[in-house]
Amino acid sequence: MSTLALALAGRFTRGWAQTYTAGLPTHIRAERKEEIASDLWEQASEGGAEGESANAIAAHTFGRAVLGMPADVAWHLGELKGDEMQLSISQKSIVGIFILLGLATIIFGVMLSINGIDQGWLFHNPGETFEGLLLIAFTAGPLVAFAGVYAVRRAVSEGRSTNRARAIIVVGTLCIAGLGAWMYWTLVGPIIAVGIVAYWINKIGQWRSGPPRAA
Amino acid sequence: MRRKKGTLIPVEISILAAFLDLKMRGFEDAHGFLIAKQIKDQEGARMLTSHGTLYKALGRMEKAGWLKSKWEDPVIAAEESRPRRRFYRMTVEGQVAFDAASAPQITARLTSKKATS
Repeated sequence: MSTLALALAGRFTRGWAQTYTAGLPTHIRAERKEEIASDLWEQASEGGAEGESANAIAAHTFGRAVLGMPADVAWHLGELKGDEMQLSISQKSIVGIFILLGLATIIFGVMLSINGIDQGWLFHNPGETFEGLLLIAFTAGPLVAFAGVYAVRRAVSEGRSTNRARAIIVVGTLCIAGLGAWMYWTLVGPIIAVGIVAYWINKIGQWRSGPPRAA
Repeated sequence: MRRKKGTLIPVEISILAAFLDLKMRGFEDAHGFLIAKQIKDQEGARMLTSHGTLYKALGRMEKAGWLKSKWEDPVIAAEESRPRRRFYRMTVEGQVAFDAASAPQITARLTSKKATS
């Protein structure tokens, strides 16, 4: 009889619960994890009482966790759309526009870099190399901003300070603004930057003031 | 495709049927694992309902008003050295939804199962 297999199955299931609840409000996350922990305990206890082997209980537990993964992911996405993280239609439109502009900035930066290397006007001499590095940094700006947004969601869900995550957003948006300024003929970058910062500061405020769910 | 409001899908019918059977056995409240075990027994399944399917359905049914839940007193769980249980109970609305959706088939099935056992 292997209690190691049972321990591993339990750890796997709890680890998966820890993963798919990431980014959700603290109490929703805690409740789901506690409910899974209770279920695991009951299954092991009941299986043991009925004479089921530890290996069989472990296999059963593992199977339940794996087969439920699609539903867990769907649940996570549903909770993200829930009342406490609900965006209005206009907010969703703004987010959509920012994401599209961010992706467009990345594509534009990558194409510009390829063109610069191909045509020999980038990384040709020290000055151009500096410009090239600057271009790469600015192109990565939206990615940094997106990472910051994710970090904010995690921090809010875990009840931690969002200062560091917000700093990441600011760094990312400054990179985007820099790309816009470097390409002096356009104001797209700075507009995206200001928009993203304004939007997320507002959104973070909403998450924080969301009504707590009764336990 | 979005389903019509108030209609039940198979897993929800199974859950409500499990509550009815548990109620007949004297269990008004049931935690997730007990519900999964009851479904397995009543349907003769080889496996328990997966965690994801079960708890997603329970949460959805609570939001729909068909079930209500409460957490066990943490002192009781601590005394028994186990995690706290979340107990669910079927509401009147749940009973009505179940009756409207599937009472004839499920009742017939449960009756025939009891008659043969």
